[in-house]
Amino acid sequence: MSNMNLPETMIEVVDLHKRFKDLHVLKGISTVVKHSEVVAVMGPSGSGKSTFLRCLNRLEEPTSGRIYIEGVDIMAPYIDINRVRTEIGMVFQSFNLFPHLTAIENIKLAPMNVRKISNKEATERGMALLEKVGLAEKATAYPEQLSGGQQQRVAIARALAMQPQIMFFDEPTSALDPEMIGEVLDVMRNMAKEGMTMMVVSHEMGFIREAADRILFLADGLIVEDGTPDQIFNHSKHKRTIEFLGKIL
Amino acid sequence: MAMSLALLIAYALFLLPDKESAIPVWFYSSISFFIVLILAYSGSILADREKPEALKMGVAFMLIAVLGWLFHRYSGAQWHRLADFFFNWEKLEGNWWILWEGLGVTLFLAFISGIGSVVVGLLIAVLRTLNSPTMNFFLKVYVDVFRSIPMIVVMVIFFFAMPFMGISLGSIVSTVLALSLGYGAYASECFRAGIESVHSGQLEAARSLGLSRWKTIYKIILPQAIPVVIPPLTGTLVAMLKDTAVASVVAAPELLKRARELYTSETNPTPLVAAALIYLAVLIPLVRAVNMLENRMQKKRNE
Amino acid sequence: MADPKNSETATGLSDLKDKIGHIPIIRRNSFVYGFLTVLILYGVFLLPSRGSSGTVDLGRIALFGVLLLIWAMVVFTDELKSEKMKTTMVFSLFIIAGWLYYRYSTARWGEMGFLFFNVEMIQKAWPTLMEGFWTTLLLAVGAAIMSTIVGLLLAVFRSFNNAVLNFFIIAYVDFFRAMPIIVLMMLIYYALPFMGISLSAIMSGILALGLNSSAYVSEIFRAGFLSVKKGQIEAANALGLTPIQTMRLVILPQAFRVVIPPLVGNYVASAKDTALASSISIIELLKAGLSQKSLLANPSPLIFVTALYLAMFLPLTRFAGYLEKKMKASQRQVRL
Repeated sequence: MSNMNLPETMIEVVDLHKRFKDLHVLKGISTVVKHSEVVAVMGPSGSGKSTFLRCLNRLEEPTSGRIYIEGVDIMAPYIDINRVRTEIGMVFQSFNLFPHLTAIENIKLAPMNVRKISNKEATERGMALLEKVGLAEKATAYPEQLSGGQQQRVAIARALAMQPQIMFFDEPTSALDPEMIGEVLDVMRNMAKEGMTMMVVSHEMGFIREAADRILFLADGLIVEDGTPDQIFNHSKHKRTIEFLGKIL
Repeated sequence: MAMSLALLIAYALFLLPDKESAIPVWFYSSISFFIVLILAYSGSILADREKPEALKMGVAFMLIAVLGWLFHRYSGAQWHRLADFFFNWEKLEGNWWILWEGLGVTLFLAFISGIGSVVVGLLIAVLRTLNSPTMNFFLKVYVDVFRSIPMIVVMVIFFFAMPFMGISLGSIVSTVLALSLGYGAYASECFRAGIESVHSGQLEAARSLGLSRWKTIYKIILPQAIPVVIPPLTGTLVAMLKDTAVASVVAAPELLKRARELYTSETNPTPLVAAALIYLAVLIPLVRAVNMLENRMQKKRNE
Repeated sequence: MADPKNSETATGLSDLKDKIGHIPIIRRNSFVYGFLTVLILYGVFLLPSRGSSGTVDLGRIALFGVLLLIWAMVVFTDELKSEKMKTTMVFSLFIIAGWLYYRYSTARWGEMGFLFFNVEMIQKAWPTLMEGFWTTLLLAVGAAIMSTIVGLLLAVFRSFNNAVLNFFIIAYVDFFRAMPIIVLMMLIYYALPFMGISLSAIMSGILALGLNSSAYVSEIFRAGFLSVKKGQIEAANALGLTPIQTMRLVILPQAFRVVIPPLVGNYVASAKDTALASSISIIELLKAGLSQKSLLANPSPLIFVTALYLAMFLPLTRFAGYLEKKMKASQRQVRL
């Protein structure tokens, strides 16, 4: 909300709360994400990072609060949430590729069934995306035949196939072997350069430092710090942040 | 080893009772003790890794032979009557068509009830994915009730008690309804296990792509659940085929019922034996197939 | 509902901006209540009168049922309808279905209590029913004991991996798993006497149930033995344990955990199958209920027997299911 000179607001969150029965996970989160901004969400485990992200496309139903995507109130009753989700690609920690479909079929599924485009067009688009993530030759491979890094790149291509305006990454590299993290981060870095609006839950310091415009630091369901990577990593005043960074650096 | 064998032979020669012993306690206990001894003896040899394979083969044949001999000697069976009363195919001459007709009815019942129970089971399982507590409560009650009451009781209620409520169903309809509703409950558990075996991440991934709930069930969950469902579902359906024989109690003219009628009119159990053989011929391959499916499943899971 | 026109460009959610607050008709509460009103009006004015049975009338009743189901599906498939509304709807569905049945069935409603829940009749039938209950128990326990002994022996001898014995054991298991129990009972009770083997009805019942169950029990024990990895036995040998010690200290405790849940499930299934013994004139619970029903010309004993089965087996079925679930959960933990 500070830089009003930047053009368009992509996501606006107002006082978001989420409770699981007795557990108060999100205790009133408000923030704004602008067009083409790359926002890293960090914080100790249990701080509600993943829940926050999953509330934003209502994979988890928020308990209260308002969420605006491109100015559309997605908490409005009877909003077509499936339509909203087509604009938000999501990449998961455990890839979640559909094991009964090949890589290209994974990518084609949503465009064909939700966007209703033809098989031919979906195949062309899917192959172009596979090319982009460097896996064109693996199009007909099943997920179990791919390495973790390859699976995650296919998952990214699958999300991109819907031509979303926003991409969410929920710890995209935590389930990967170290030597595979690079290939996934490369793909993400390229997306950031191309101007994709991204929210990334991750602790990959190198990637964040280089690609993120902003860091949201969450602890106990609240944003305790919000600033550029330089501010957070080098000049943080907040005790929780310093403590946490000390642990992971 | 040789020593114990000698003792066993001595036991068999001197201590085993006569065919018609006067003292039942002595009769049964001495035979039982002999069986225990012979099992222990052969077991100890078969379990020993040092013993040669040829000896083990010998022991195995001996064990079978001794058990057969004991049965032959003490069951009181009059073996010469076997051919006359169990395999007297003359009695069935001209009557085979009755059994085939009965088999036809059995297969018909199984087929219709099979479709019925799969439909009921799938419906319940899909409705349960809607996650409505009220709905789930009633579905759970349904499944529990039908899994708790013996199938024969369900059939009997449909056939004998429903008419008092103004619903007369007839034996075929009672059977099909009872089997469909009852095995539908079992089938729903198979489907549910299959659906639950699909990782929740799959659901989230599909929904995050904008797929609707029904599309997710149809495109993502069912294709992954079906291979998991097939082995237990086949098992359930084979069990249902076996249970069609129970329909004879409510006078459905299936194989067992027809065989019993023949048995009564011919005063000869050959029709019953023939019916049993027909059941075996149909069911043994199916039971084996189910076994194979389950083993393959198990292996896949252990990989 | 993706807009196909929008698919090519898919420029954001601009189309949704116009739609905010626009609720699809079938998702509106007014639709649900309006539909309900229509249903009620239909029910009051268009449903045929009682006792009519023409095709048109039956069609009208059927149409009413279909409309009712459509209405229910509309409410139930809506993620945003409150649970309270769905609950109310389920109960109103039950009430309407009951009312329809009440109105159109030819049952004599005044006699329902007399027919189905007649305490006096149940009291008259009580001694027989109790006898039947004990017989059922005897059958169940007898079959359980027999099947455990025979099944365990079969599994042990199967584990010796002797080709000759395995042939006979597999034949035995396949035979009794494929043979419907009721057929087996009739063979033993009606056919064997012709060969000179006359068993009492109870013995025939126990024998048939036990033989059938023993085939399953042997498979359960075998799976239990197989679940103990070969390395365990080798490790025990390496420690210098005798075969009996290995069995007692290493194999059995591990196999036990795998065996118990399906074993309990099998005993429960076998206990349920005791009802089949009614077909060979054993006066167990079901037969007692049936005979008293005929004797008193009143189905109350039968209803009572059904309730009794439910009361006995509902907890047992749930318990068996609970054990199995627990085992599966622990297996999953081991694999992680």
